[in-house]
Amino acid sequence: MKRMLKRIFIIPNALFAILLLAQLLPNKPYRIEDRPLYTVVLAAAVEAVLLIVSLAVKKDRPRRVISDVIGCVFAFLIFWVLATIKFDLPGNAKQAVFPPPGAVFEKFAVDFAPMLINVRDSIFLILDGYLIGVVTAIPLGLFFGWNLRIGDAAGYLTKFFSSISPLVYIPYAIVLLPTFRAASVFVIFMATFWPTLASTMSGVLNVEKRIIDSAKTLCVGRFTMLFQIILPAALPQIFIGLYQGLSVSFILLVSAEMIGARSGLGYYVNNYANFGNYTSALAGVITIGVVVAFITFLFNLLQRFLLRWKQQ
Amino acid sequence: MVGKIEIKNLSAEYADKNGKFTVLKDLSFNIQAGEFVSIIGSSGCGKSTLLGVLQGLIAPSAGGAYIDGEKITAPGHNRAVVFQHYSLFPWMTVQKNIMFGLKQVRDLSRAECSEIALGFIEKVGLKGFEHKYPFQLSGGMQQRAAIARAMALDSDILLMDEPFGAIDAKNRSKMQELLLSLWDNEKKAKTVVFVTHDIDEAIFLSDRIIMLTNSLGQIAAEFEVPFPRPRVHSTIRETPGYVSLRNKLMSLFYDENPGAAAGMEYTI
Ligand SMILES: Nc1ncnc2c1ncn2[C@@H]1O[C@H](COP(=O)(O)OP(=O)(O)O)[C@@H](O)[C@H]1O
Ligand SMILES: [Mg+2]
Repeated sequence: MKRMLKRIFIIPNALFAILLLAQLLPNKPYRIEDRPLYTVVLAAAVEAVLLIVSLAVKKDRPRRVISDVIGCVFAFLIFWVLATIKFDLPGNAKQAVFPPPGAVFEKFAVDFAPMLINVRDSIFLILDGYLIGVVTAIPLGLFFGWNLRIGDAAGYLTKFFSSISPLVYIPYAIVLLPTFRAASVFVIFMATFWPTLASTMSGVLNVEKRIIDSAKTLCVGRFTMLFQIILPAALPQIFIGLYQGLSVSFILLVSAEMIGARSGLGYYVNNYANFGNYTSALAGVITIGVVVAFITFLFNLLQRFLLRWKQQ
Repeated sequence: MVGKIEIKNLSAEYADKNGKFTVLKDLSFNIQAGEFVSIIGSSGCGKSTLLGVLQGLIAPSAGGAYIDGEKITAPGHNRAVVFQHYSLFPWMTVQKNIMFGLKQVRDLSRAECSEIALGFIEKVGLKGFEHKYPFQLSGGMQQRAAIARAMALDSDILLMDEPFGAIDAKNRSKMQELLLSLWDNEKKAKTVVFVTHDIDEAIFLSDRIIMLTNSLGQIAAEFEVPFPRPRVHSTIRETPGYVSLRNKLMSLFYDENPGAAAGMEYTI
């Protein structure tokens, strides 16, 4: 019982209470109307998750991570509502670019169905570019790394290419590729391909020589050596490139969807920002953040599973 | 009987920034099929290089090594290898490691591989650990698994490079007895070439001990070890001739290694 109480009296719950109280403060005159109900409903939903997690999750670490994340969300919401509608910190002139939280959350409710479609389209776009990048970069990296085990000229070349922003390729992609979507996929592909190729090659170059010797004494064939020995041995390093590619892909999503896209989160953000509707644009940005966090979570699960043979 | 090894005028060299330097020079000796031979010598004298040639991983600069009359140019199915470290693949469980080895070397179905693997896992005392990854095992258990894999390959020749070098003394004795019992109980008499820098280990295991010189990897001395088998640690020290053989080896070993105090443990 006492342990349960200890799980309830935690800072995130106090922050939730403060957030509710903050709603009661009088509003400043503000250009964009707040919809405090949406903030309260959303915060209450998050609070419900927090309560369930606090009481139901037995393992200490995941419970603490989740409650810390939620605490940060509440702290940010408190700051947001105070800085905008309650105290108008940025000053009257800037009110249009700093919508209060309730106004942004209202967009989630209003735009729920189109937002889901945007999420789907963006994920498919990134998945296409990312997967094509991964399935081409890893075999090439294995092949080059394995055949150039001595020279590292290729290493410098890939470093050179991975330092070029994929945005540079946009005009060429538009001219050379048949559709705008193909050009967008190409941007994501480029964001993934070079870091994955670079990390695969350096992973191959760093494979413990004694492991390779051990495989050689078993007379493994070329193909087996590459895909059953070198690939798993290099996998921890390959994951560094895979993660970098994923991060950059998301950073470039907004730019990639500037190329004539008609849907997607990046398109959504662009579109509203261009018309000066920062309330909707911010709703899009927050959605991107949530999607990125969720996909990163899945990515980490996959990584943990594939590298379960490694000492943590 | 198969598994006879001949080393004829073998030289091996490495290249470094000062040019080439010779590690083995004009080395010749034979190992009979089914014989257990230990190679001893101090650190850096060329033991691993010699074994590397036998494994087919290092090309000699002159001369060569022959198995049943055929020159070694690459690794082959007639040899199985155990290293001091990293014989096992860290991303495969114990059983998968053994099955992987079997699949490469022997033409067997998956079920047969699995069965043979489990059999050897039991023989080396790792029952219950077949689904563990190497990092979950102690160094000694890892070497048991590596030995199980090498034995499962059913090769004519077993090449071992200081396989117990990183294991504590008590476990090392157990591993030595395990190795001998596996070797004694094989239907097929395997030839074993065992590299070590531990004199007691060499005496306990071998039919014959070949001591290399400190430089240029030549034979400093050769000793027959006539003690009857099966051998166990609890009685080997009482075998007549044990003490005198050990003393002879010790004095030669430390003569060959000026600067090392007698009785001092040698490390790799
Ligand atoms: N790959 C290599 N490149 C250059 N020199 C090496 C290499 N491997 C071993 N050596 C050198 O060759 C000599 C013999 O090494 P090694 O056969 O490993 O000796 P041991 O196994 O008896 O300790 C040592 O001086 C060592 O430094
Ligand atoms: Mg060595």
